[in-house]
Amino acid sequence: MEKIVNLSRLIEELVKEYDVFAPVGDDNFSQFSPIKNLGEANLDLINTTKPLKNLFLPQSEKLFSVDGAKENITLEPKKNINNKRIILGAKACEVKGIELLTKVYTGGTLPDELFEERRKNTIIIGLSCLEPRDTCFCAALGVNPFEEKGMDLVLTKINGKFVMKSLNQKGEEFFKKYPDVFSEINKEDLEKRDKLKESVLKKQNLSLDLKEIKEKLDKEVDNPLWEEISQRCINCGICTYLCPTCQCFDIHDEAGKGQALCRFRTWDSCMFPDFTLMAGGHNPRGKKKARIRQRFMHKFSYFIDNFYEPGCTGCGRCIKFCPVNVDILEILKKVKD
Amino acid sequence: MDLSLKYQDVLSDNKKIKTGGRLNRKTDLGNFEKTYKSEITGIIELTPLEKLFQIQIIDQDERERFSFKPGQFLMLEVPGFGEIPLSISSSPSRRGVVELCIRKQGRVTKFLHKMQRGASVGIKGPFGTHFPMEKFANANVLLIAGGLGLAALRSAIYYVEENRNMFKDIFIMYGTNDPNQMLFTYQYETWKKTDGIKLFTIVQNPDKKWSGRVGLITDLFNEIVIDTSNTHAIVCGPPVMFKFVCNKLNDLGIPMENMFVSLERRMHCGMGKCCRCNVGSTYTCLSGPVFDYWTVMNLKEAI
Repeated sequence: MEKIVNLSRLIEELVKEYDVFAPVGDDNFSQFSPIKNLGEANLDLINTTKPLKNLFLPQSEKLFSVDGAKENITLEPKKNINNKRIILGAKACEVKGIELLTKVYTGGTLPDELFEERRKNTIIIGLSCLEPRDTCFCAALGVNPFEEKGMDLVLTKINGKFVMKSLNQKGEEFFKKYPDVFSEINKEDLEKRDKLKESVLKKQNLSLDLKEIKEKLDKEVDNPLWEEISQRCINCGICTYLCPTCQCFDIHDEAGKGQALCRFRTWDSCMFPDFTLMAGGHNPRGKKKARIRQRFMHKFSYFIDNFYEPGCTGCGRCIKFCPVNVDILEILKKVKD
Repeated sequence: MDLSLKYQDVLSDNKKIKTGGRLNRKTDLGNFEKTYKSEITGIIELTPLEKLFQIQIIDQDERERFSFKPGQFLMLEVPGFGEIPLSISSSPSRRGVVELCIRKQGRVTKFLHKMQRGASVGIKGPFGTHFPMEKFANANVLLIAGGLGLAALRSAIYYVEENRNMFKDIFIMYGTNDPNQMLFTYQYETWKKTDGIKLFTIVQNPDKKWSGRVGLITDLFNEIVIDTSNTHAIVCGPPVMFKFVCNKLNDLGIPMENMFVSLERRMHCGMGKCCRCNVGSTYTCLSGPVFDYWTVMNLKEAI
């Protein structure tokens, strides 16, 4: 079903029942934060600084805490993740990132409970991307700005109006539940949307073809290219922190004197030298070259081995925010040739 | 530091706490998610850096149910400090008591070395693949360890010692940097006494007291005569050792699929998610730590 939606009224209705998250912030820094009304959100942002993965795999989260004195045990996150959530305004590449993380975290014999629970309790209202950035290369990864996979509903902004389209049963129910906020859509608007879609698709960066990238990468393990790139890299880890598909984390125990014992899970980065350092002093990826290679091999070779598609969404964050201009596009193109 | 810190059932819900102390999370996957309340029953100082901890599961039922195979590892939990993966060094036939050889190195192990008998810890496991000892039946067995690698190999040594009749000739080769680093020296005589087990030790930098062999572990191969067509080998040690030893074994004519190595990687989550222990697209926490050398040769960046 497709209808024009009065977004500010819809959000007013939704916040009564759900935790609503939307892009908040400006060009300097933005992330998905809880909102109470449409005014707080900034739906014109091309992409938030922090990826959507923050809502499924928080930068830092308490796994549990134990009060030593009273022997009380509390499992902290249980309370938070049972809340029903709505994510509003997620772009196709963000949703793709969550789809890929879902494969990692819920696939196989050992699913991650927290991630699974969060994914189950989340409804995603996507937003069609009208303006790919010059660093975007989602076309190479099979994502297009109007991609609808993984979303429950999708919004498209046409002439300041929002058109809402339901993509599955969950989305369908929205139209029944809040009939007042929707109005019928006319033919002109639909035509306009198709034209818009066409023009946006033309803007996509099509310069990269990832066919056979795995085979190429597997052959280039000892290529001097890795050494060359690694001389530039300063191991700041921003490419992995802001990557919507980077999955690494660290587990920590903390216990202050007289305080509760806590176990934390925090983002970690394979770019850090001590990431793989072992007790005996051996470090399998002690050299910068090996770490850079690991990042590329993981996304474009190992991820294909395990999940049959590359672990990248083409959002371009790692290109935009890299302080020393390590360009994933440029490197992949070099590997291809 | 407060040594009386009581081990808490940190992973269970309030409601779920049972008197036995056995913990189940939502996903009940055999032994995977259970933390056994245990206590340190003995500490033996092996070298200035390494100690052998004897750890016993407190609950009688659980103690009898707990079993493992040579080469597997377990997670040792020290509340407030963290969890670390450790190779089991004790005999697989000894129920309920595990021995862990631990080097004083990181945050958790430094605290462990301060702990005394009677301190509470938690163990989870056992995890991982094991040395396929049954496959070695009626064959010669080479057990090769370097440095701390003997900790992981010791349970395999126990196995061959206890099931002596299963195997033909058994050779144990052990090399370290200097004589002070030799582990389990008090057991060498017992091993030698077992019929047909030959023990060779070698050090790189001898001191004045040392009267044995001097050199690299690969030098030991000049001393042995074996029928290589019917020989299996287990190699444990620092990664640099693998390459030299396995190449040597290959030259001797032992097929790659008959060599087994225990790959050492840093592990945090044990679920194949945190990406620390990956060797190519394989995760050592899920598919390892024991691999045959043929598989290792086909993994990228393995050694």
